[in-house]
Amino acid sequence: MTKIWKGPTLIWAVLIALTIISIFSAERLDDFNLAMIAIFGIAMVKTYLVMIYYMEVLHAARHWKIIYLGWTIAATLLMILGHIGG
Amino acid sequence: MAENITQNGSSEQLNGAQPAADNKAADSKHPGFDGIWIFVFIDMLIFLMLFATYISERIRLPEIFAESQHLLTPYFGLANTIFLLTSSWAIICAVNAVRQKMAKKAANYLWLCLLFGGLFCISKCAEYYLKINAGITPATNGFFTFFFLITMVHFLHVLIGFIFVAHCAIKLRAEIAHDGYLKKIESAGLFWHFVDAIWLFIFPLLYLVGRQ
Repeated sequence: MTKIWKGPTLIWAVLIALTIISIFSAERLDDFNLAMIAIFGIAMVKTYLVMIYYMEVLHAARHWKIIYLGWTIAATLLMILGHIGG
Repeated sequence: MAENITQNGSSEQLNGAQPAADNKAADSKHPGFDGIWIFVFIDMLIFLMLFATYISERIRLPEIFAESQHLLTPYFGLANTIFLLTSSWAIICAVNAVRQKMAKKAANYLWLCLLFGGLFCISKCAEYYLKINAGITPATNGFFTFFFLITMVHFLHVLIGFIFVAHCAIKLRAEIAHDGYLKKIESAGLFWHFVDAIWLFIFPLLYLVGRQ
C-alpha cells in the first residue's frame, strides 16, 4: 500500500469511529445537553475532516476556505443553540 | 496528510505529467471547476435554511418532535452514514488514481463509490417503505414533514451525484487522457463529499439527538 492510500483510508476509519462514538453518546449519556453537544461537536469534527481531507478545501481559494469552514461552524452553532435545554 | 493527498495531484500538474492542453483546465489551483464550488455553496445555504426552519419548529413543538424521533430507527441512519462515508472514501481514491493516470484503479474505485451510493439509495427507499407501511407519512405531524422533506431533498442530491459519478465512470477510459477529465472527476467528488457532509448533520439532527 503506497503512502497516498493511507491518507483517505485513515480518515475513513476515524470518521467511522467518530460515528460510533456519537451513537454511543446518544444512547449512553443521561444528560441531554452534554449528549447533544457531544453529538453535534462530533458531527462538526467529521464534517471538517471531510472538507479538509476529501473536499481539499485547504487547496481552494481563501474565500472558499472561509465560507465552507465557516458554514460548518454556523451549522453546528445553530443546532447546539437550537437544542439547548431540550 | 492532506498534503500527501493533494500535493500528489499538484506535483503531477507541475511536473507536466498531464498534456500541455490540460494546463488550461488546471489554471485554477483548487480541485474541480470554479462553478461547482459556487453551486455547492448555494446548496449549503439551502440546507442551512432547512435546518434553521426545522429547529424553529422543534422549539415550538418539543414534545411532538421528541416523541416522533423515537419512531425512527437509528440503525438506518448508521447504515446510511457508513455507506456514504465509504463511497466518499472510494471517490477520493478514484480522484487520486486519476491524478496518477491509473485508469483501472480509478474505475474500480468509481464503481465502488457507485455501489455504496446505490446501497444508500436502497436503504433509504427501504426506510421510506417501512415508514409509509406503518402509516407514517409527511402529513403525520410536523416532525415527519421535516423528516421526509430534509431526507428527500438530500436523497435527490444523492441521485444527482450518483448520475454525475456514473458519467465519470463511463467516460473514464475514453477521457482520462483528455483535457479537463481530472477537473470533471474532482467536481463530481466535491459534490459527492458535500452530499456526505450534509448527511453528517442530518444523521445526528434527526436520528440521534433526544434519544436519551
